[in-house]
Amino acid sequence: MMCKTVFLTVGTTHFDTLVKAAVDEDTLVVLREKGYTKLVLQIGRGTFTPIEEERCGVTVSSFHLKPSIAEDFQSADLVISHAGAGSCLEALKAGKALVVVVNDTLMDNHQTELAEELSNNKFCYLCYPGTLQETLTNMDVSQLQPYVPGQPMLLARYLDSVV
Amino acid sequence: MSLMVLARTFHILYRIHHGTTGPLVVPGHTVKTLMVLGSGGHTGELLQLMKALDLSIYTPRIYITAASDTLSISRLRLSEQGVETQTKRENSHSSDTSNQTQTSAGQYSIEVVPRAREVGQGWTSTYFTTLWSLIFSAISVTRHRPNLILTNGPGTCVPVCLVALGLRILGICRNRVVFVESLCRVKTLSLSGRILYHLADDIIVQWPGLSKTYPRCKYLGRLI
Repeated sequence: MMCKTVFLTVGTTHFDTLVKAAVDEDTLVVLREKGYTKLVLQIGRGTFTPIEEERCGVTVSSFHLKPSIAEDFQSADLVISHAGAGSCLEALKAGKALVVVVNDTLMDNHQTELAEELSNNKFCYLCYPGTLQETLTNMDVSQLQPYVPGQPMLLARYLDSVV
Repeated sequence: MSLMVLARTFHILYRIHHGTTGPLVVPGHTVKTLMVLGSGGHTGELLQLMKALDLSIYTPRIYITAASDTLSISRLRLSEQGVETQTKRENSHSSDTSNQTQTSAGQYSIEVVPRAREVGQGWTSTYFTTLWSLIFSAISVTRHRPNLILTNGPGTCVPVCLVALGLRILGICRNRVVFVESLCRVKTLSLSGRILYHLADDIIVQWPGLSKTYPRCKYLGRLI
């Protein structure tokens, strides 16, 4: 059977509740059932470091931060991301199936705005750490819409006209 | 003296709010551009916008970044190195391009200032760290006197824009403050966006709904 990889990313912040939810035994069982055999976690400034081992048929590994995680996005079949715009869009631009997990404990939680808009457009699935397992169980990645990237040239043209 | 400054302040703010800030540089000259990097997503978005610019015009580039943000600096270096390599490649293909373009496209510097606010920091202590950050930003901005301030909303950008506005009021340099609201703002402006809404020349938003709620916002289309 083909080896399918899940890449989980929390960006430059910390999101231990997501990391814990992802390496929960029940979540790993769901991932294995869906055909995923490898889970790579980028845990940022988090303090909870999962044990590197094979559990429930899924090989778990993790790292904190590195300058470019483009390769990790490329080699993934499914991305589980915090709701940061950069991470979500990097996954969508790489054409990956995406599950966005909103951190419901942040002080100024504007993150949900983008995540909701993206999931309204069916570009990704949206959930909270507490509903991750349920979302993974029910998701059907073939139902997601391909993402059309924005055009930074529009800003460049505007600036050229005003400076 | 203070009356003159007051009158000048009103004059500048009037021009900002009526969109009548004039052109910054004479044609053929370059635009000294200052950009403010933030953590994570802010940096990623800004670097994508930067790459779309004609870098032989928007040069030299000055990046301001927070002291605790080493990742932004390494991502920035990667992007600028990419720009430089690309320029070199283009130049080696066309013989009529002068060396000047090659060096000016790769011209940039990095200024490190203390953070105005850490993610999750309380509001009271934010006032003090912002003040500290303001002093450092004032020194950097005054030294460089940029023509264009392009920012997308990390906390550090507010003091930077305030200082740039101050320099304009005092007639020290001509500049334009362009604030690009992050793509993650769909319904409301960020805190930086709400402050700069009154002070920046342009508030560019990436979702059409925002320009209806806030009339000064410009929607050019999704940029990221």
